[in-house]
Amino acid sequence: MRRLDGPVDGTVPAKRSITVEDLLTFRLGWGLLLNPPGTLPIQQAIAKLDIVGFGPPDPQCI
Amino acid sequence: MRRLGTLPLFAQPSEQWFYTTGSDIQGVLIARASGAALGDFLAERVFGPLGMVDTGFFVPAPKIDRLTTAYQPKDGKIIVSDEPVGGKWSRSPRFEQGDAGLVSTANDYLAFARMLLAPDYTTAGNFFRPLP
Repeated sequence: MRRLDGPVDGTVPAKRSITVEDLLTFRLGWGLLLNPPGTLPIQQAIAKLDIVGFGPPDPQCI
Repeated sequence: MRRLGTLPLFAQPSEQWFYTTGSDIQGVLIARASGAALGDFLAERVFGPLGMVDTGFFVPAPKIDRLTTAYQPKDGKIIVSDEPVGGKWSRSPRFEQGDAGLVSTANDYLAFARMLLAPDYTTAGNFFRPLP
């Protein structure tokens, strides 16, 4: 994303692929956002996906 | 992974640290690389060797009477957020998360912490190998 608080489709190309090292060091480019829930467009997009991984654990969710 | 893949990255790879989501993807990677479900892999490679007999992604029925009730604050009071029987940890999860969601005991957690305190990597055995 060009800006984390910007529109979800406001993107630029990735400079390179994500490596395993990126993944192991939490620098893959996704993670928990600390803004109040639902305040950023990207947070709304995440919520719509109905997946875990951006908040508390939920055994009933994928 | 398919749903996650519809999201744009929040930053260029390698440029910014973000919490927790990477561990879920690591869990998927472990499952794919090992050919085992993450819970089975952890049982065989971590919990079993450490004697963490009460740790897993859910509490089986014979043990459910040992699981505590979870509470959370609401409107200045405390309410029940999860009951043991029939609750979220009473059955297998839909997705075994690499970042959270294990249920355990203080004794099991002590075994894990003691492994981390091992004075050198050889004592910790197969759990850690220093990177070359």
